[in-house]
Amino acid sequence: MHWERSLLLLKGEEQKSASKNYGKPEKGTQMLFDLGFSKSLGNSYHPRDQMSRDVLRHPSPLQLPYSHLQLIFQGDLGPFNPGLPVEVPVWLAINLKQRQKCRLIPPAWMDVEKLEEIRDQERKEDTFTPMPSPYYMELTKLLLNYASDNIPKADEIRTLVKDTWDTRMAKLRLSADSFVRQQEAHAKLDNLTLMEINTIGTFLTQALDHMYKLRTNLQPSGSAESQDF
Amino acid sequence: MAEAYFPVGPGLGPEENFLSLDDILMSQEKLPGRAESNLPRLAFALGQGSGAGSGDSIPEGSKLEIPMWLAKGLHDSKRRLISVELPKIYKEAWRTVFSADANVVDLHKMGPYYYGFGSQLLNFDNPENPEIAQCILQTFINRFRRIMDSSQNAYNEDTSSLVARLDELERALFQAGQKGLNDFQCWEKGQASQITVSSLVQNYGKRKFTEMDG
Repeated sequence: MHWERSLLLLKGEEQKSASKNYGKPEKGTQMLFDLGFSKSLGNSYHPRDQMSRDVLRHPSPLQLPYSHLQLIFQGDLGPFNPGLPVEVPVWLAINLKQRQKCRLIPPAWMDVEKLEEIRDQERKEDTFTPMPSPYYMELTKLLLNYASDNIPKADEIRTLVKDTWDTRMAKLRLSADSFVRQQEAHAKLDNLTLMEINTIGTFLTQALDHMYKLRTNLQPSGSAESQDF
Repeated sequence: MAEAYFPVGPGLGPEENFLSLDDILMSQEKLPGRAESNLPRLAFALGQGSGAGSGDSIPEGSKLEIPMWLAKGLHDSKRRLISVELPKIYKEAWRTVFSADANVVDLHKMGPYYYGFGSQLLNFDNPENPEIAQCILQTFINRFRRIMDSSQNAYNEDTSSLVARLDELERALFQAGQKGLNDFQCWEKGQASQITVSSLVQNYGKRKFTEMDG
């Protein structure tokens, strides 16, 4: 999940502590990283539009200790130019954000209107609706914890995602119950995220194990009789 | 979060699981039965040491309360040493109760190993076997929803009232559900990334060495 790409705007550091570290006490540098979801966003999303004023106001050389990063698994990242969005993995985005090097661009779905739509859709339909990201819970938590100042209406988003989650969990429980009641043999877990499967997984598999054994009791055991000589 | 040991689950079938503590305890449960022939030198095993009759043998026709493991060993459809009756909770009257509403029955009081014991009863060639098996399965299915809901919703609560009426098998299931819930809440509060002491190590520290030597 931490390699999931996320859209970030990275900004330069104004605090003295950081400038001490990197020896360039430039003031108010801003740089843009494009962390993440930009591929799926298409043309509808323009991080530069939102941020360009800031960026243009503070043109300055990069304050990161590296102009680009070489990573073993993912290849090169960067170049990290101020004012340009860069797509980097979430772990790096969080790290840079914690050091106040950047501004995060929340993924397109992390928006009150879109999330309301998703929540209403989820409540309306009986089956699970596709989530904008397979890691929507994890990303919401990470981004809201570390970058809530970059996300407009963070509290509302938190509530909306939690609502969606609760709806889905209730649905999951309902379908698990009907699965057991009708003694089905298999089920499709379309559109369920790993997080959701994980919370109920141990319980459900154990219960199904028990049920399977109790069901085999229904058939008179032929093997036991054959040993009776 | 690491467990000190992983309990071996019950066998839940005509055969019990040799390594399961639950199954060992379950096989101690008593079964009502009747001696179909004289059983010499078995009185001590059945706790009827000085019963009426000759010495330590059990006369034909006497009523017995035999533990499950012994009943399984003695039961033989050809030699007819003993006959086994159904415990009342598996009889017709109770089966009606279960089919009416399985949720209201206190399975813990009615013998804490309802499912395992019921499965073992199928060994005794009772004509009602299919009904018993069906009833046990249906009971489990009907009680499933309540166990799932209560185990997935009781966070930071006293669960003793929730599990009071559950059979041992259901309690294990309840614990599994609770673990899922607790792990999720733990993650949500950001505690999942903290490294904690293994419960094995914690328990080891509590134990006194003198006791271990003793």
